[in-house]
Amino acid sequence: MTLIKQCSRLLAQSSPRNFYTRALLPTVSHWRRGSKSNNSGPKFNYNYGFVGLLGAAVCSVGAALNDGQISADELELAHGHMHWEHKEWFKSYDHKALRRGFQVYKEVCQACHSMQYFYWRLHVDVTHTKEEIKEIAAEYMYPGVDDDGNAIERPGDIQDIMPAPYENEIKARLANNGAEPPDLTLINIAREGNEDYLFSLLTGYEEVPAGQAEPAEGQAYNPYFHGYYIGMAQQLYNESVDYEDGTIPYQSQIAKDVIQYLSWTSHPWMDESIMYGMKAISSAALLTLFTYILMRTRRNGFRSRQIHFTVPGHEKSIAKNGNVSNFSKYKQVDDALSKMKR
Amino acid sequence: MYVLLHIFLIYASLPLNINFSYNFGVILLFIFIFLLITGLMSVIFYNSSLEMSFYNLILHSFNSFFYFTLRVIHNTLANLFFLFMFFHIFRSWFFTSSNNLFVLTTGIAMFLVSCAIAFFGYCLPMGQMSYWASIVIFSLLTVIPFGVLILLYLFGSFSISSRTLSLLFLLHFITPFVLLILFFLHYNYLHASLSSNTFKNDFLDLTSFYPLFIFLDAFIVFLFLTFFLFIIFISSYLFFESANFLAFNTLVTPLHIYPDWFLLFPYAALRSIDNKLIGVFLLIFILLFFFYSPVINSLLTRLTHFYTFHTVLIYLFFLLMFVGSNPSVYPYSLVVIFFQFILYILIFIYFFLLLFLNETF
Ligand code: HEC
Repeated sequence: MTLIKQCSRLLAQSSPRNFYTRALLPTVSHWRRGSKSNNSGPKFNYNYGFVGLLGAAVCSVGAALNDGQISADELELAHGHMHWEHKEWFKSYDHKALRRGFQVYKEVCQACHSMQYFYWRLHVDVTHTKEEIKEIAAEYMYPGVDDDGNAIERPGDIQDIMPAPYENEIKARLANNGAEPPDLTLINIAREGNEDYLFSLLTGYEEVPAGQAEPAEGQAYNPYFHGYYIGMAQQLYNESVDYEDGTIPYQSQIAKDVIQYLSWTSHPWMDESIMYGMKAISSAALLTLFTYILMRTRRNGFRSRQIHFTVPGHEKSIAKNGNVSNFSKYKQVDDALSKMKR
Repeated sequence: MYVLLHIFLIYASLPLNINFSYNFGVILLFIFIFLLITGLMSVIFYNSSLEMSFYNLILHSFNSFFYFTLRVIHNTLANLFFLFMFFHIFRSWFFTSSNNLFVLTTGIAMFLVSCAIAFFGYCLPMGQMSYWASIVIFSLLTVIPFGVLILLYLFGSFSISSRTLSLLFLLHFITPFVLLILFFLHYNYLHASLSSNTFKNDFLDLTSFYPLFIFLDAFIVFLFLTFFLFIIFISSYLFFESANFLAFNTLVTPLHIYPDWFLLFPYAALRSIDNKLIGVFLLIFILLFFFYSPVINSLLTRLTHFYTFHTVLIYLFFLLMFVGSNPSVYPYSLVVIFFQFILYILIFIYFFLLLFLNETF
């Protein structure tokens, strides 16, 4: 309210015409005046109304900022920035890491998280051989129909999508204290911060700091999670998986592997993309180069040409100054004109 | 065909002094044609049922590299279309290309139609953000009389349903052809009026399209193509919204609903006030203000060039984009209030300028 009063007072002090022409549109008034008289030169008259308005705006924002209280549970810790090699240009995934990541997913995360957009067969020749994947898929049972039309359970096939741990959303919620474990296929691109956020989240579990409320039953404290209290307890510890290739299973190593795997599941065509991309980009770049050269050869002639309007009989003098050659397109016309004159 | 080409390449005359920024138009045409082609190609992959569309889309894109690339191309091109549209508009401000009112108006119509197309297309995957964006946009209809009835008619149900999605799909398919018609009008009138060439009646310094500009255009198109291929193959997810990779959930409202970047500046105006009706008016006002700014400018100052005005407008454009992109929670809400304040001042100044300055000059 006071702000409005102040503004109106300041506005009243300044005469309207001066206000708009001088303070807000200095250039216009300058040009206008310059065209009428020769009294040119910039005229920036300070208009206290305008300055006051701006000042009032800044002050009010400052005051409002002072009033605001920062409440800790509305913010979350910014995730770290890690170096992910597969995110660089023209780099592919580390397929050994993908294989390890699949192992982590299968042994740890699959207890709660589904992968409902992903086929078993997409793993073939990326993380596993065809036979290995067939074996793994056959470990899970899928609903099917037998020859007599009865509902049965059949072993999984390589064409199936990866199984979900819970039958439906309600069961998933019940099993996890009301928090639904999200699907992990697209989790990497579905979260702001991608791999960096996931790494910070999976390795960032902490003791509850003093002054914060204790987490409820089945919750854990994680400063990187929005709202701090996450429904997923810490999953990754040192040596929580045994790698088959002998890599030492530190917590950070496990997190890195599983995140690389999740990154691949959200973008399974990255290696293909880069392969095609290298061909396409290099040919397009070559074409660009050729057309650039063509364009320059055409353009230079036009750009460096000069047009002269000369009185007949004066071409020579211009030629002497080196501006135009005697080999002029208009020479014939000139000659004809000069003949006519004679 | 040969005659047409001949007319286009040899007889169409254009001034020699136009520079690189005049190529945005040709890039836009190029993008539009490719959008049409990729759109037609990806029609067969789409399933317009509410429950299945997202699942179907993701499964298809993981099934085949072809469809994945098609989707990435279509998305990236749509974003680049808007990017170059803005370049084109800003160029027209600074080169006084908008003197021709008909060309300007068809241009604005094209922008609005392509915004609509982009919105329809954005809704089609029915991810979390699509769902809530369509709820927000459709509910704008409720400000007009009988809006609720129209809304229910469009929904085909009491909320967004498979029928709505079919309707959106249909509209997304049809409206590009409206854009095509508008494009021909825009292009025809532009060339009939010899663009903004100052020497309109002097055919002294004109040249034909063929020997020079066809190579300039080809060069620009290939340059664009190189960068474009880089985006689609190397950083495929550049223009994808992370919030739209979740399947929609009718029970969970996202903390922060925001449109794509190119709709942020009218969105900021819409959101700047509690009242929906005034918000919609502000939105329309801001759009018209931005796009008719050359006309407004020449009315106000009777000058054909007034760069300061347009420079300020471009700054304002980016500010509005920034405001629109922020969630309306504590630290940002103050920023929103501040720029809301500035917006009101701007509108205030604008009307008073109209009142006072017009009589002054
Ligand atoms: C005990 C079951 C359980 C296991 C095992 C589990 N999670 Fe979770 N996870 C959950 C639940 C429940 C949530 C939902 C948390 C919430 O919304 O509060 C969740 C959420 C997540 C999220 C989303 C966080 C966000 O930003 O919303 C990610 C990412 C995640 N889990 C990754 C993993 C990974 C990787 C593993 C394997 C190493 C794993 N989880 C193992 C139960 C589990």
